[in-house]
Amino acid sequence: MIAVEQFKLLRRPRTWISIALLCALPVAVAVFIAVTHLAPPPGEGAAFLSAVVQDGSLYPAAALALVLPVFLPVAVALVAGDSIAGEATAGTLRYLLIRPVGRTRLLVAKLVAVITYVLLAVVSVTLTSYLTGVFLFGSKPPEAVGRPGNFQAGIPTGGVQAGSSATSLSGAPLTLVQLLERIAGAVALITVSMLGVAAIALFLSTVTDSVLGAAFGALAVLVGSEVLVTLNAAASIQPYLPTRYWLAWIDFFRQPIFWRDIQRGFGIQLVYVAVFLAAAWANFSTKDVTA
Amino acid sequence: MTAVIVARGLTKQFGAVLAVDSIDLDVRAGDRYGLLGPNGSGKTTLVRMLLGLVYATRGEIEIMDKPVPRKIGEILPEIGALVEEPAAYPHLSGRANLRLFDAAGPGGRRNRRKRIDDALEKVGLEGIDRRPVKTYSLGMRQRLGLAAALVRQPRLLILDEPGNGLDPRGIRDFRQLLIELNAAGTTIFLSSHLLGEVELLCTRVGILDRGRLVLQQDLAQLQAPTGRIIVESPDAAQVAALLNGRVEASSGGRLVVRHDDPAALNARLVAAGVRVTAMSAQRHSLEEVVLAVTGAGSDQVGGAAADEAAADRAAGGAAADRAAADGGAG
Amino acid sequence: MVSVVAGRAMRRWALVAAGVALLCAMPAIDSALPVSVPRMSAIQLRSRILASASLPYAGYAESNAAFGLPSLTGLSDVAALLDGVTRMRVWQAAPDSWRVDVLSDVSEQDTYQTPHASYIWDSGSELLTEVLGRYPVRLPRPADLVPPALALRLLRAAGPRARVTELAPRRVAGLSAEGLRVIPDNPGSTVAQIDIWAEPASGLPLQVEMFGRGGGQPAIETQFLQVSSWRPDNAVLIPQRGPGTAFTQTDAADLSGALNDLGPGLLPVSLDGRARVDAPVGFDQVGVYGRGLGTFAVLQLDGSSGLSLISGARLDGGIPLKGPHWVGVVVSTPLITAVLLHSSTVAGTFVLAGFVDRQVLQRAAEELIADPW
Repeated sequence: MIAVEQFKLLRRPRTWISIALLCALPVAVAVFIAVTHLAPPPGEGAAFLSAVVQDGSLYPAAALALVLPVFLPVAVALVAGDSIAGEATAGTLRYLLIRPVGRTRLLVAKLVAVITYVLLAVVSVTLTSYLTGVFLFGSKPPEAVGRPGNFQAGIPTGGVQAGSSATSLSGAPLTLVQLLERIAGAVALITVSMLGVAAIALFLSTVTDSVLGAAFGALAVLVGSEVLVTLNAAASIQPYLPTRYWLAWIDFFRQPIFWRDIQRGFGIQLVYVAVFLAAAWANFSTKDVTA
Repeated sequence: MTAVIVARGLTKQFGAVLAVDSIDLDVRAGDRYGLLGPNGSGKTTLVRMLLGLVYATRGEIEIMDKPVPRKIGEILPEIGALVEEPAAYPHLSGRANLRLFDAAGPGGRRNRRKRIDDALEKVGLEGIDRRPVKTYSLGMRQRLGLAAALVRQPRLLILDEPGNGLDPRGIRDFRQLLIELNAAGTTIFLSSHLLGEVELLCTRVGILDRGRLVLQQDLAQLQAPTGRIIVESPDAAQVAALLNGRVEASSGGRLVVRHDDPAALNARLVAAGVRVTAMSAQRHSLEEVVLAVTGAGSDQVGGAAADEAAADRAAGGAAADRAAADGGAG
Repeated sequence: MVSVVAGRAMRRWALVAAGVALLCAMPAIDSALPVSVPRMSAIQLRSRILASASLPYAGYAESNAAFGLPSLTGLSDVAALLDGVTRMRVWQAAPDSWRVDVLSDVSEQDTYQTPHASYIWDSGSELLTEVLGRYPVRLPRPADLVPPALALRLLRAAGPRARVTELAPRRVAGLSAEGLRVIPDNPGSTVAQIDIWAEPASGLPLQVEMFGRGGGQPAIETQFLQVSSWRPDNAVLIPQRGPGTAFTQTDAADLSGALNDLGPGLLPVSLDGRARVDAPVGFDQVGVYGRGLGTFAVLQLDGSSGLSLISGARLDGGIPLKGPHWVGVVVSTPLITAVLLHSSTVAGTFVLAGFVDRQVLQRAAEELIADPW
């Protein structure tokens, strides 16, 4: 059944159109910056965007920061919200269930398909933006090439270390391998963060037969969470909000990596996935399928 | 004969609406069972309960001696079904849809290509190409749905309104196909609001009216001779005089005569010099039965034949009373 | 709804509800873990904390301050530090070898202290600044809010005569911590009490809460959320520069920020009966008076630059003061009081601020004005 859901996902035109759109936004932003040379000043605009003019290999981080707040959650909520409700609307749900496909198996297969979609989307954005960044901005800043450092008291303060390909948020250089590892880490955390959204949408998808209802329901939860995250009065519940640690992937680009929020980010998302998947299971496995 | 579907006291309530009300269903192996009822009478809910899609409020179901919904996972592989409209993934071809549904469930991929080809051939879609299902006509989709139900060569076919969208030729082909499958050992349970379809196809009927199963009987019994003979004669008065006391009704040149043997009656009339234009043993049509056992407001069951049925209402009434009594006993 | 699967549905939802309840209870269970610590007296704990200054540690701390300072031009960094939440990663190998990163969502500002120099990295401008020399005087910085640094500073300031009592132990950053309440003995001080929780074995302070007089909430609270006593790796403590970053050097004296427009005046040896205790070399215009937690600082700004500060503070709710030859303003927060006075006779502005109440500062200010020396 898992293979069938993968096949359905991959053969569906909508999957590829939405991923292409997700990839198009960072590419468009890169083209505009490359043509006008008007990057946002440091410390303003989206994360990492000011740094990419000097170093295109950091562009995946900027691209992820661009799609994470809105586009990615919307796409994921739609795909996950479609998973049961969409089958119900199309009438194929009843034919799957009498084939028979166990209801729990169907849910698991749907979740795995959503995971595949999220991974595909995040990895596609990362790869296209890496290629775009390196192509448009180059992978190394001019001053990095072979200038010896000005060593003072054993500290290389005057020059840049050779062999590094990007700069972390803490100022320390990252080798290409380190950079790729950290991008992989960020991709993993963002993927898991999206799974929280997906689980909520999947649960709502078992409650309603309306795809949009399920997707918007999940998005409403996210927007509500975003509002509360910025509200000081809600500090006591903030650690448990689904979007609280969404930005923790940036901590992969600190030196050393700041694991605390990353771990919590993974943890809270897994809790949301577990809770909403369990709720989806409890609801769907005993629900009348009348569509 | 062994029972394939047995339901006892099956009840389903949606909120305040009683969709299915204490139904006792009994479908036997080898039956071609037709469930008749107007739209909204609970046919679809009943079918969904049989398939484990909807859970009963009360009552029990056993299919092939296994309880539903507890063992539904073991039962469904033996069942092919069509529930309301057919459904398929519109961007995939018909063949890809069948492959996909086949792969989704248990049973492995053995002979998948051949089984799919056979099923498509049976429903008359052997020529389909790679066109996506969204370009199919309603009739083609219905055929595809039937093919999907047949891919696993089920022992029991549960078909909800299978004739929808088919043209007359399609309906006839389909009836032929079901009769062949039944002859090869497949039990068939179908629901329909089309009397004619059921009358031509089924060996056994159940009649559903506002959630209640008001009749369940072999079609042959329903249509058995009533012990009356219809005589048409230009000399109606002579016939009445000759068969004093046996004529139950007479209108125009048409008389209903209480008599068991048309041949003997004919011989007697002819011997008496009475001209006989037509003579036949009276049998009830399914339509008369349905009209008799279902309540007011279900005229649409009769459909276009309602006018004709009205002419026979007086005669039909008496027969239906008997039929209903039989149904209750069975 | 009643159905043949109602029992099953009920069981499944019960299972889910139980799981959710368990997950929700986990934070509560965590904080309710028993604190089992060898009890020691408050005096013992204080000496242990005072002896912990050179301990290595690494961790993550958050401070939450509510000083309620008015916004002052040129002091926005300090105002941010003293009002709101500051998230800090800290590493300390020795008192002269540490690093503090102040984290925001998409940037960070790091301070490195090595035995030879200190460095400031700002990720927004991608600039590493090497600070040469020592700060003669400086404004509060994030490193001051790390629990051990704040606890030590306050305990030392309170002095041995401050009254200390024990507090109930609690769990901080997953460790059992013993508590200590310090009540300063300085008349006129705005500091009501300081609560410190420290790891009893090592004396490493884990949490500090400082209360002003009449305030229910702590004016500042800082605590570790994660801490270990490992000696951090040298690689962490030395700043490194990646591609595309800029580097500059600056003199510590230049960084004293708002202290640039200092006037030429000399300050008296005592004010309001409090002796001057601190006279940084080259900064005669800055003085610290009093002892313990009853101290205040005085500095003199040249010319009319102080006038805009005064009018700004008045707009922000300060209480105006007026005399024959001077204008001024008093700013009171639960913990910090500040008085600004501009005198036409000395052609300058005196800024007085500290942990003392308004009367003390006002008397001191009037002394300064009345008696030009």
